[in-house]
Amino acid sequence: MPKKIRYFDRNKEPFLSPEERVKTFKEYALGFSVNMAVDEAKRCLFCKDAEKRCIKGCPIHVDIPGFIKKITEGDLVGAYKKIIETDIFPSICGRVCPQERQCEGSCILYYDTVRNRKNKGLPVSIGALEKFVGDFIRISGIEIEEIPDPPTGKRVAIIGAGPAGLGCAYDLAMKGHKVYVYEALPKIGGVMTYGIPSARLSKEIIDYEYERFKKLGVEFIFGCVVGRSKSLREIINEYDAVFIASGYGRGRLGLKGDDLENVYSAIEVLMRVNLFGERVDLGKKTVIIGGGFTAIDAAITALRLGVETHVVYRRTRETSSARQEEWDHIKEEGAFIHWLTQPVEILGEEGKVRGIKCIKMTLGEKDESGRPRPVPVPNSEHIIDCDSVIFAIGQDPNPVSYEDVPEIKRDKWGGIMVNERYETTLEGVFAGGDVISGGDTVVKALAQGREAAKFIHEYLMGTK
Amino acid sequence: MVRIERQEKKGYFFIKTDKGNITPWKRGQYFIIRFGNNYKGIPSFPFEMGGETVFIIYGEKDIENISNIEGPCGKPLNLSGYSRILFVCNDKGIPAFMNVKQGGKEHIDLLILGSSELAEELGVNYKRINYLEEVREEVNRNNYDLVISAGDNEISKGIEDLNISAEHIACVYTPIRDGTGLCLICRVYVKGEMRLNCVDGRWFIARDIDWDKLKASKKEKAECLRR
Ligand SMILES: Cc1cc2nc3c(=O)[nH]c(=O)nc-3n(C[C@H](O)[C@H](O)[C@H](O)COP(=O)(O)OP(=O)(O)OC[C@H]3O[C@@H](n4cnc5c(N)ncnc54)[C@H](O)[C@@H]3O)c2cc1C
Ligand code: SF4
Repeated sequence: MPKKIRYFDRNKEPFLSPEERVKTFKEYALGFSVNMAVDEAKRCLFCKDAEKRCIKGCPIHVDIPGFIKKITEGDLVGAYKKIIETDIFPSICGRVCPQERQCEGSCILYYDTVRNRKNKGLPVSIGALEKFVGDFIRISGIEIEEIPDPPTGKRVAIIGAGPAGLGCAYDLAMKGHKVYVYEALPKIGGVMTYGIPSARLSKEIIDYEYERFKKLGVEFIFGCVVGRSKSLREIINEYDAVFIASGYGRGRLGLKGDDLENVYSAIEVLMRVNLFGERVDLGKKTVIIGGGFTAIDAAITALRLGVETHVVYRRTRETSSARQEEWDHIKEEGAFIHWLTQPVEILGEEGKVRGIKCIKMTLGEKDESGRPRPVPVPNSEHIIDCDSVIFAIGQDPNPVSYEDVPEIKRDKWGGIMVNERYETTLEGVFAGGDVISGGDTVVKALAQGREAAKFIHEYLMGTK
Repeated sequence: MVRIERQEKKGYFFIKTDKGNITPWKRGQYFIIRFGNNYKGIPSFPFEMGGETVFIIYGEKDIENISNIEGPCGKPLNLSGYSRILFVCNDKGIPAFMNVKQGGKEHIDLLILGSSELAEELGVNYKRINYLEEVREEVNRNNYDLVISAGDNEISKGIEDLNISAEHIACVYTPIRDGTGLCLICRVYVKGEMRLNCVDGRWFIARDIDWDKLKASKKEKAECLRR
């Protein structure tokens, strides 16, 4: 009998209610139970041409039908091993990837990527399944052996312990190289630790992954700001190869009045709350400027600090780069979202923020990015009173680690230029992740780190 | 091994560690001493005493629970080209003075505003002043070509307002969190441009600093600003 296609009965991951979740920084997406996971896995059609569909949609090309099949067989260890062949962080990517634009957006139930047309159903919940598998292994304490190749005697330095640096460290360590990761902060994870709030990504997961790296023999040098604590040139001289994965993490401001007290970069607010456990004083009402991941995370954080939270974004929900469901989540939690609203000036009194002047926008012709360009609506200026303003309008590169080495060529924004082998213009120095892409996603940074490791290995072994 | 010497009555603590435990620092660089599980961080200038590296922390309750000593951070202070140097600070600027003095061979005179138990304890030679105006008299009398100020933004701003003939470099006090140039909490406006005290500082030509904006950006409790 042909298999009945279950287009619509997608299992919904249970969530804390908005009233409950806004009171806690604990995760609000509770994960599939075993029954839900197995049932959801059975929705998969195990397409023979999956590499043209979901696998292609996944930036790191996880064998999606492969791991889902193992779930249906009750082999969760097998499912985990299948995922980590390509994605070493199932619990993380299952949580933070914008799957609707990646694997799930290319699931045949939802979109036929081969014929390039929309299908009628809802995609398999690939992200939640991946998270389920990763969480099962972590919580059950099952040890998955990861045995590195015999030592090669080569030493590699990695600058930055975000997903790109970690991806690279993992593969190089597995190849038998001795890996040293220089990280400025006291913990691994990069943005996953200091940026993404624990309500979306529990820090226990990052701690678990840290233990995996320690077992592989990767050495971490925390609190070392490369370029200040130790120069990159010294590091280049001491190691056989260097991989720069320092991200694109410098907060960005940029509006008249941004020098007032109570004006914050989103990175400041997120870092102080996530990493240093501080309570940032945002007053009674805050306005967040922006429409991407960072704006959502700033809103999640402000709401949990008990602050009336407004988000102003000059475009529309459809054109925002944040995950669509996240907008619903913060709205349910009480955020006010002002679409098509462009801030023009922060207003102050005695050095402190008292409001933000905005103008309404409408959508005009398409711009270079293919998105309709927002244009101001005449006479639509208005003021939103507030006690603080948080800038979440993207980040700038942080060139501290490489600014003193001019042989490493930079792009016009200050990031690092590389060729297709992730080589910079200085021999033996490679780069990957946000520092070369200008800001992307966790999984893309991870994928680049792992790909770069392949080329670094070839370079080290002289097999290039 | 990190040793902590309490000086509770005096309101400060000595954190001492073998020199070998600390990455070598250059003149003007600071470290971030992190405490507890939350890695609360306090910037502090290192100096050497009896073969050990010493940090001084004021009034920290969580002192026993040091989780990490990170650094050195910030840009080194380059004093080449100056021959007669005067350092002006209050009690809280003494670690900065020790760091700057030990970081090179130049002779540096020290003026301290008010009394300083710490200077006494460290056996530092200094002259006490009661008013900042006395800095101008000292500069004129001794032909200093450089004044370095530390301990408090108000002291540096006060000296800058004196319009002295010597060049003036100020140690800037802002909250500092990551020390890496990510969060912008430490922003300082210098010659109209935003600079980051954690990675570009902590030493800036005083006349280039926008002192009004620096005052406005004080969003932390005063105690954070004084280290
Ligand atoms: C607030 C926020 C939320 C996001 N949410 C998502 C999401 O939900 N899903 C998603 O897929 N993507 C998200 N992103 C994007 C994603 O986090 C990044 O694309 C990804 O983390 C980039 O990885 P990376 O390793 O290149 O850099 P990073 O994660 O930035 O890591 C770089 C590391 O280098 C260290 N470093 C920097 N300079 C130095 C130095 N001089 N010396 C030593 N170490 C240094 C930093 O401390 C950091 O740990 C988000 C980004 C932000 C800012
Ligand atoms: S890594 Fe991300 S995109 Fe790839 S299958 Fe997993 S959730 Fe989908």
